[in-house]
Amino acid sequence: MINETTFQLQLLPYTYKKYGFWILILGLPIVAAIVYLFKSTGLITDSRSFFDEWNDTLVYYPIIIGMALLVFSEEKQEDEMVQSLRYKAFVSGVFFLVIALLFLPVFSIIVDSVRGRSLGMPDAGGMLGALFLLLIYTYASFKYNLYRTRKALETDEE
Amino acid sequence: MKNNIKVERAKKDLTQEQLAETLGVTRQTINAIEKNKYLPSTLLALKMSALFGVTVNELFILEEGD
Repeated sequence: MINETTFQLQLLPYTYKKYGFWILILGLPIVAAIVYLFKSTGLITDSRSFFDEWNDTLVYYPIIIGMALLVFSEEKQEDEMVQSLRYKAFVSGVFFLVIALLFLPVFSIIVDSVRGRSLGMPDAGGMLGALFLLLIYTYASFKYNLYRTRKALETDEE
Repeated sequence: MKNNIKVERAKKDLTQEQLAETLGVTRQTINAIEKNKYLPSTLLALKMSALFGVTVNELFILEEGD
């Protein structure tokens, strides 16, 4: 019954792990080459979008796509223990992400203090927004599935 | 919880690899179950029970505190 009511995410086949690996290795140089090409043709006049501002999103695209393919594809030998370990990794990953982002201002203040710079809040609005979406989806999805499952089981009660 | 999988496997003269292949899991999973590092699903426990010809209760034994 639970399997019928909850959303099941189908993982990608193992081959996609290799694609993810190659995107991680080759993605950054390829993006750098494209930016260089655009810059040399005058389409981009400012290279900061790639090289100078680590916060800028372009750098993260190949990394995120590559990592997502690694995370969301099956192992060569996939079984229930592997799935159980993956689930635990997801849960602990989200937990540590919450902790890390909540403590980011503290780390930032410590680094600023050590470097003798004026103290300020890090620009983490985007990251906190993404974390909010992740947590709200997780909670809403969990509560919805719990409600549907309980509702379905009520009618089956003997 | 403790289990008798190693004993039952020896009775059938099966290696971990052979048992894993029969059950459709990895050898590492069989190893983890035998060492009590992973608790198998009901489905896998029933498949083991059917293969060894013993009940699930004979394969997996509850201990104090479980």
